Amino acid sequence: MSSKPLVQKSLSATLVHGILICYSILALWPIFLVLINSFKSRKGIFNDPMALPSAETFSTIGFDKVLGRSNFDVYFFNSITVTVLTLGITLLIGAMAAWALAGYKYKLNTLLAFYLAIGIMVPIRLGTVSILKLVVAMGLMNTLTALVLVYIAMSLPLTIFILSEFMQQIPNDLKEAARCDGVSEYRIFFQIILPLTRPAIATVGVFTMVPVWNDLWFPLILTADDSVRTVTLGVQQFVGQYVTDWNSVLASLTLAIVPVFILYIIFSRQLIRGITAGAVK
Amino acid sequence: MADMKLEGVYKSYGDVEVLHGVDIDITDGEFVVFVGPSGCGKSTLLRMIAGLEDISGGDISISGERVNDKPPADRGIAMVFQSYALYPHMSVRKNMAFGLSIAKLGKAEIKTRVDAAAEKLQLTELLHRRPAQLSGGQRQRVAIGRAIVREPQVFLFDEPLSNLDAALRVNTRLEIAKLHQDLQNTVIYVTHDQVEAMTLADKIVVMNGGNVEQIGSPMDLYHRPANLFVAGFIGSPKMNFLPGTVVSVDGSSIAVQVAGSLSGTVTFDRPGNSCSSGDSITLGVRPEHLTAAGNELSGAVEVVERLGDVSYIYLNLADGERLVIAESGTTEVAPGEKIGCNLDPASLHLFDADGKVVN
Repeated sequence: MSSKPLVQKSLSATLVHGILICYSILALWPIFLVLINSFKSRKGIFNDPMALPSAETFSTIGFDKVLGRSNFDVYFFNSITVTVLTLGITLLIGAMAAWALAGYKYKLNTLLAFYLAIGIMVPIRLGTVSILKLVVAMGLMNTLTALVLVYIAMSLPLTIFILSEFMQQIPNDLKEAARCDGVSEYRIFFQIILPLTRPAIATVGVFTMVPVWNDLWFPLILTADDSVRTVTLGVQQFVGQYVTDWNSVLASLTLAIVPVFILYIIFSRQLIRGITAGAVK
Repeated sequence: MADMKLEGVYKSYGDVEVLHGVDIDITDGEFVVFVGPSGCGKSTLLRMIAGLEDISGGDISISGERVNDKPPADRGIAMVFQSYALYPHMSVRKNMAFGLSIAKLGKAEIKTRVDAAAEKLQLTELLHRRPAQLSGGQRQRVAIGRAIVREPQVFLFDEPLSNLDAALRVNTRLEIAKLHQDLQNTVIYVTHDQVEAMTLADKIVVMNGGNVEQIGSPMDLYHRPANLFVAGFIGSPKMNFLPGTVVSVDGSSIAVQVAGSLSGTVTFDRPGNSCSSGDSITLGVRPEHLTAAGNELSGAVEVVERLGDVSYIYLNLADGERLVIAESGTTEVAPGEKIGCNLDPASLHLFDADGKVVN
C-alpha cells in the first residue's frame, strides 16, 4: 500500500488526467476543425467556422473537386510510395548501422558514431542548394527517387542514434550464445536483434514517417512536375495568391490524414506488443 | 574422444596481459573446474576455449585438432552462460531447437532431441512458455537443455549457479553432477565458489592473476596445496596462517619457532631443502585440524559460531594473530574465555617467504 492517503492519490490522478485531457483537446482541435469544415459549404465555413456541419451547410463539394477534378490519386500514390520506401529503407539500413555500432568493437567505432550524430545537429535544409545541384547533376530532377534519397539521408542519423542506444541494452551473452549455436552474423541480426528491438523500431518508424509525409520543402524544390507531386504539394494548387479554395484544401488535408493514420496504427500495435512482451515476467 | 589441450595460452588486451601462458591437459569425460577470485582470467580462458575471444598466443586443441581459428559452432562445444542468455522472443522449445535448425537437422530429429532433453531436465510441461514466464532455476535448465541438444564434445559452464538463490544452487549443483554422470561428457566449469569446485570437479584448476596456481583433484588441493594462495582459497573457513622462523634444518627435519607460541619450537619430519635457519616461514593449519585443548597457543575467544554439527571458535592470540578453530558438535566455550590449543606437525603446512610449500 502506498503511504499517501487515498483522497490525495485520487486528487493527483485527477490533476494528471486533467492536464492530459487539456493537452489532447489542444492538439486535436485543429484536426477537428479541418474535419468538420471539410464537410461544409464555402459559405458555411466562413459564416461560422466552429459550427458542426448542419443540413444547411453540409456539402461534399471539396471532396468532389479534389477527387474529381485534380490528379489527387496520383499525388496520393506518390506520397505513399515516397513514405513507405523511405521508411523501409531507413529502418533497414538504420537498424543495421545501429547494430554495427552497438554490437561490434572496432577502431573507428566512436568516430563513426560521432560522424553520424552530426547529422542530427545539422538541419538538412541548410544543404538545400547543394542537394538541388546534386540532384540536377544526377539527372534525378522530378523523380520520386530524388525525394526518397533525400528523406533517407534526413532520417538516418536519428534512427541510428536511437536504435544503437536501444541495442546497447541487449546483453552481449545473447549474441555469443547465438554464435555458439552456429548462427551467422546476419541471422543474429535478423532473427534475434531485430525482433528484440521491435518496439524501438516502431517508435523510430513513427518519428520518421510523419515529417516525411508532411514535408513540403523538398517536393517544392525537387518534384514540381505534376506527375510526381506529393499530397502536401498538391494541396498548394488550391491555395492561391488572391483566392484560396478552402473546401478543396480542407478536403485534401482530411484525405491526407488517412494513410498516415493507418501506418501509425500498424506501428503502434507493434509498439504495444513489444512493451507488453517485455513486461510480463 | 574429447580430450583437450591448452598449451602456453596467452591473452592480452592491447598492452595489458591478462593470461600469462596457461597449460592444461583435459582428458575425455573429465569434469574440470576453473576456480579463482574475480578478475583472475578464468572466464576469459573459458571464452577463449569457446571461441568467443581471440587467442593472443599459444594453442588450444580439442580431440587433437587445433581450434584457434575455428568459429565457436565448429569446435564441438556448447556453452551455458551466467545470465542464461535465452532468446527472449522464442518459446522454450524454439530456444532449444534454434541451433539445431541452423545446423540444418531434420525436423523429426530436432523434435526427438528436444523432447529427450526436456524429459531429462523436467521441462516437458514448459516447452511452450517464453523465458520471461520461467523462474530462475527453470531458465537455467533451459540453458542447459539448449546445450545438451547440440550433443557437444565439450560442455562449457560460465558461473551457471551464481544467479540462483542458495537452496536452488545446491539443487542445481546436484543436477549438474548427475547430468555429468549420465552423459559422461567433458565439462569445463568456471566458478569463483570453491565449494562448487570441490563438489563437482574431477580436476580443479586454481587460477590467480592470470596464472594457474595449481591443478589437481579436490582432495589433492585440500591436503597438498602447492602454495599459500591455493591453501587459503580451498577450504572453508579459510586455513589459518601463522608467521614463524626457521630455527634449524638438518636434512631430515625442520624446527620452526612459531610466533606467539609458548612451548618453543615445533619440529617437522620433512627435509625442507629450500630453507635455511633464520628464514621467515608461514605455517598453515586448517580450522578442523585444531582442537580447543592444550597450551601451545593461547588467546581470548572473540566470537563463537555454533552451526549444530560444527562450531567455529574465533581466537585472538596474544600477539594479535587470529585463529579459527572448528570443533565438531556444540562447544561450551564462551566469548571472552581464555583457551589454548596445540599444533600437530602432521597436519601443518609450511610455506616459504615466496609462498611456495616447503616439504
